[in-house]
Amino acid sequence: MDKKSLNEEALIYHAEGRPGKIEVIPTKATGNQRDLSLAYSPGVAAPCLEIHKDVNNVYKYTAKGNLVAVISNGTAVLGLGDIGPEAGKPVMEGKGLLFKIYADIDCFDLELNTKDVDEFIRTVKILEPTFGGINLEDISAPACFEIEERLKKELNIPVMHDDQHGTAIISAAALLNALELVDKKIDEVRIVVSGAGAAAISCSRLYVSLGAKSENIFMYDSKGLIHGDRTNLNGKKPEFINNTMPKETTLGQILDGADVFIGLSKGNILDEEMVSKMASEPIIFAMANPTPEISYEKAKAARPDCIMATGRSDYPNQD
Amino acid sequence: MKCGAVYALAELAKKPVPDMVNMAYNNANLKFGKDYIIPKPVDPRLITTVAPAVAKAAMDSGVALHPIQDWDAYETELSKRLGNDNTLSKVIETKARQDIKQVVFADAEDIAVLKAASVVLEEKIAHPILLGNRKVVEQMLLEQNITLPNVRIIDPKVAETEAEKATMERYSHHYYDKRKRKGVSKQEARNTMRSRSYYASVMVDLGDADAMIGGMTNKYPATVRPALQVVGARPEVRKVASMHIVMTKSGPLFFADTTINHHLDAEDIASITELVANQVRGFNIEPRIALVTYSNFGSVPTGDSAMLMREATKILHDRHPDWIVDGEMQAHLAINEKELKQQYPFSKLVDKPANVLIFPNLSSANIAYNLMQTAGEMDVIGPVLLGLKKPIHILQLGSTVRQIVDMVGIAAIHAQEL
Repeated sequence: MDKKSLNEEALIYHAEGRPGKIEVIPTKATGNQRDLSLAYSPGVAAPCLEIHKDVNNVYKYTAKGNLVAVISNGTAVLGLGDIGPEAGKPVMEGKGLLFKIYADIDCFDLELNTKDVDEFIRTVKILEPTFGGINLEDISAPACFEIEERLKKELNIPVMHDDQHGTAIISAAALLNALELVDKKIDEVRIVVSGAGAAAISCSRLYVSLGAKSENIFMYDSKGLIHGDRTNLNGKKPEFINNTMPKETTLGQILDGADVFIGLSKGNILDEEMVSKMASEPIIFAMANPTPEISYEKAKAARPDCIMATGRSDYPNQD
Repeated sequence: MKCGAVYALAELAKKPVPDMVNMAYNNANLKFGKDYIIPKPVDPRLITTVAPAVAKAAMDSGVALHPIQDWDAYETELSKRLGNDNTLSKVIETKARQDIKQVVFADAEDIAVLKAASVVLEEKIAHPILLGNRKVVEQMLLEQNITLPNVRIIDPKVAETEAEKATMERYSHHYYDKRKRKGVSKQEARNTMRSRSYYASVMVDLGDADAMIGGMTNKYPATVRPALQVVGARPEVRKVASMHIVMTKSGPLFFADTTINHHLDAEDIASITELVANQVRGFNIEPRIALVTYSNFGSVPTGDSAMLMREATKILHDRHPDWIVDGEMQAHLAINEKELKQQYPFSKLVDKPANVLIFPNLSSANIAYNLMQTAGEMDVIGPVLLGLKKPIHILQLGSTVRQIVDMVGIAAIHAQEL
């Protein structure tokens, strides 16, 4: 299918039958009047009172425990950018669908019409009674950091920003195993991170909490090394300032002798020569999608001893 | 909790990989190493490994509001959740992709077939060859806005170029050779080759295509005939049969014989059961077989179907004492191991529900899968023809694009095994 017909197919897929991708289905019998008198008035008063007595009973008598809110304001939808809450809805419904088919977790998708961080947080906070968990989705950086941090502090139910932590968790697992295979220690390796967005920050944080040393992590944004002498560092980038090398150090120079490359930036920014200078048995996670920072073939050709992972299912080690 | 997930994922990659996962990656022998550092997405152990690890971490850190007390029950509950996922379809597609086979669509003058051809080409499940009137097919492709790069359209009714004429002659001769002692003349063979079902069957028999997907039909047995005459059953096969796969919430159920044989004796039932069991093992699923009817282990002593299935069970028990196969029994007992255990604790199926249901006749099998599909709103794949020398499957009228794609995947996997 070429792109055009894929698009057409996708529009038909979403529009046919009942529009959208999800619906609500009762989980209890509703066949007769007696069922309905249990499900709703007057029977429903009994669980209401039980929950009123002890609010924890809400997990016993309602769907709260298996219900996740997928919440977005549509400011960073896929690679499409700030397309607004309504335009983000198909993605949020899609995430709900994935929750359902892979883990049988029910979702309501909520698209919020606000870019104001405080208003966003306040809204999610007052929704807390309804849900067992909050999955934040496609919110632009740096707002996403503050929203997630404050909600985690202020809510009693789990909060997770998928864009940050999904990649972080699987790449961290891959990193641990790759290091074991090449017999290197996480607190000794030099890690070069290409990209400084939400995923790069979150990955680097997780590597640190697994034992990596901040002074061994060199993060690059599109303008160069994240360095204390730079005046144009926004968001969470200052967290990964590394002054152990000069500000002008290029990606190619820093890779000379580096053990690990983490790519969360864009395709084809790495060449064979840069890879060939890396330390023995280098670990290369080129996770830019759909085109990795360096192709599997090129990386393996330049460094047959490397461990390579990409975001693509047609090569080994998909993140 | 994130670290809990990280360690669980990292540890899982070091454990032996389930057959099902290996199979999905072309029988790769995946083991911990440079090309396998994280688990594959289709690994069914993910949900039962990672979720409990995260839950434990949540309990240890004190954020869990409802600490889990019974971990076994939690794991059982988690694995039940996986039934929602059509893992089998994914296994089929992933495996088909590993070695792309040429699949001839015997009747391409159908929108669903063309859409399916487009999907299998795009998803690299197989490489299609289309049979049909070129103008008609091209017009339909245009109207549907489908492009099929590098896909041949062959019209067996019109051999224009020298190459096409030579192919036609070669196919006619092949068919004539097979049928000359069955009263077929050379001229008749030439005429027969103008039929797309025969042409496609000869293509597969001669290896010009690896598998065939027959046109949609409501006269199924008649449409199977070209495949039987040209390709034929494997020598050890008593009767070619067909199977439907019903995707239930708790996993796939395999039904047979759903479309071919009107009258079956006990030996037939036993041999069809063997065909199905082998096919199910081909999907790397251990068959748990129930021979179903209206009677349970002799409860109706003299009914025709009851006696038939009892006799077939006996044959299978004698021939395969180690197989998990039992009967005769009612269908609900076959898939409800608790009830079965309560009433018939001696049955071979008391540990886990059956996944293969063998029916006493065509009517019951055919009615059962159609009801599941329509009243039960379940996805169904089939009919999967069993027992032929080469993979040939005929579509039934009303097959959806998804069903056709699944059938192509199954045909492609068969072709890989040859």
